[in-house]
Amino acid sequence: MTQDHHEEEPHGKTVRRWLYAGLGAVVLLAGGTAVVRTGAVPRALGLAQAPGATQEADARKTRVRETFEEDIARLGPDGVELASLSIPTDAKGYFAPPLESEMPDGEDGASIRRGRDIFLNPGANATDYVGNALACANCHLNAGRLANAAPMWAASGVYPKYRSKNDQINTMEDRITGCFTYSMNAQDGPTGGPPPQGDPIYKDVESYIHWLATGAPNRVDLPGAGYPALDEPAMAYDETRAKATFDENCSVCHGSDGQGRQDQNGRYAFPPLWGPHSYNGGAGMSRVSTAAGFIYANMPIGKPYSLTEQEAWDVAGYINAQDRPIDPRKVTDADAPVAPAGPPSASGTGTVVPAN
Amino acid sequence: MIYRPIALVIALVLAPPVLAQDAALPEWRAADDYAAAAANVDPALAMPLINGDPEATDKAWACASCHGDAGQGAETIPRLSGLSVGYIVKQLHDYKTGVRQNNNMQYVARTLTDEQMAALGAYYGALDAPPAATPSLGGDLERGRMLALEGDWNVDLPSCFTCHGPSGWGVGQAFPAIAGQNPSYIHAQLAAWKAGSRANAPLGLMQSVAAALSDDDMRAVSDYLASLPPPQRLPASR
Ligand code: HEC
Ligand code: HEC
Repeated sequence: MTQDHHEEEPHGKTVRRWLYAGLGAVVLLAGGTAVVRTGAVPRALGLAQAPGATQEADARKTRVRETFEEDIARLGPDGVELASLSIPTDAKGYFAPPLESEMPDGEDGASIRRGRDIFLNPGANATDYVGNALACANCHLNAGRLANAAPMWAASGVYPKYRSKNDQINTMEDRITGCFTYSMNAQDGPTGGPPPQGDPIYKDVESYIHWLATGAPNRVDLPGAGYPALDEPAMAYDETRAKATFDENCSVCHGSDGQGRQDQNGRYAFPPLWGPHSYNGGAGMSRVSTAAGFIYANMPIGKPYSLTEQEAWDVAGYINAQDRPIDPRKVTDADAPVAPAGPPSASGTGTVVPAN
Repeated sequence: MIYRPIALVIALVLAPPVLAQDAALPEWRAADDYAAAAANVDPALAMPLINGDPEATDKAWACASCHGDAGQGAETIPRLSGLSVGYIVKQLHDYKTGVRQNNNMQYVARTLTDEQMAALGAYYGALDAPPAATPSLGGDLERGRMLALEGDWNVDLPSCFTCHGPSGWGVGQAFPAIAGQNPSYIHAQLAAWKAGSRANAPLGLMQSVAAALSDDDMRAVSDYLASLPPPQRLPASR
């Protein structure tokens, strides 16, 4: 529309300059968009995962595990010297648990597999002794293999061990009894308690746990064991701030009411964090410091270490300030209702040393 | 006509503040809120949009012309039937506001009212999903199964089913069904997240997931998911 005038008039020149500027902006914008769409920027900045990084990590694990298996098959005066046997480690330097392909056949393998199935889905595979909607693998991620998510390969060589909590030597079976009693809230399950001593459930779960530790040094405090211990929080617990952090970072998966989410078949995808279907007041996760370490290193799922330590303390305090099934050691009347937990404190040790 | 690009530039400069409007609410709430609103809307309202207005001369933008009569989609056009109502409505809003970008869908969504979007969500959400798609990308199905069921913790990747449900049929309103979806579509979305051109997942959850996947992994998991049954409606539910 300016065609007829802008050749002669200075006003036209201004308009034309503006038009060129506008066009230039569009070209830059389109070019920039194209660059963003190809992912060239994150690649150039090294932000994108180099293709094949995971294959390399997998290949390394396979290599170290296979070498280990070959070496232990040839241990002896004429074969591999014991001192040259190395501990299998992954790309990050943590112990590398056995591959699926190392699972033995026969009765041993069958027991390990049953143990794994219980670990992943105790509600279905140890039904009689589970009183909530949780699974071992909710807190021991990647089926008990993930470093800094209380991996089983690090726990395996620790027991038998003295625990002040029950003032006695605890075997692995005793320890798992504690998991059923507190974390799995067995008091509200079909039998009202954990599996009895010597139950095959213990044998299978122990088969799985000890198999995961194949090649790990015994009775050594391994890197990646348990959850990271955080420094004391800089700011004291504040419910308003903690709730805001929870709503923003946790509620999409666990719900604003913390009750988790189920699929259309009623199977839990995201575990309940408090209320009648969660762990009870005696569980290790009810200790704020434990929960904070777990959350800091592992939550939101898929985004580890994305919260600040303060945020992890805050949401751990918030979660453990809500109502949950009572610690069974405190129950005097068998039908006691769900009792509110005490106010959270940073160290969270309260009056009872949590059991697991 | 040359003013149009300038208008576009101005519009793009002004857009971010408009998009930032809802920042106060946790972003995932959108899907839940949209689902609640859609429960009160008559799905019949959506019919002219889906099949095209019989009076209109141009029916090219009817949903069914691209997404199919059964909402089944094809290739890079997604299956809509069986997706959660809240998720569908959220995506339509995201296209309309430009938070999610696609030329076709932004054009389609630009004139839709809140009520129409709610009705469209209610309609497609209630539609039975047709049988599964077919793997077509030459992906490694065993690797795909691993990613879907176990994840790959070398790169901090939880299994897809951690969030999309034990059968990949979705969880609540915010986590859509991915089982039985068209493999080219899934692949295109994963690639878009990795490249940053789709960025509308709550908490950036899918960006972290896609960033961890190589192209081989994307093809593997897309093909594996295509081989699974899409969500089935249970007689008892809803
Ligand atoms: C011209 C073809 C075309 C038409 C017409 C069309 N769509 Fe789409 N639709 C697409 C394509 C292509 C995509 C994938 C876009 C992308 O990659 O983001 C899509 C994506 C969608 C999505 C996102 C689904 C998901 O799984 O995230 C929804 C919802 C949707 N369309 C609804 C509709 C509705 C409702 C209508 C009618 C009002 C409609 N579409 C009309 C082509 C079309
Ligand atoms: C940490 C949780 C999480 C994990 C793990 C996850 N997703 Fe998602 N995914 C989401 C959310 C949330 C959305 C919805 C995004 C939105 O609202 O636009 C989504 C959306 C998608 C979509 C878009 C669906 C559609 O119709 O457009 C695809 C495809 C998808 N995910 C595939 C995958 C695959 C494949 C994996 C595993 C490699 C995976 N997701 C793992 C949370 C997750």
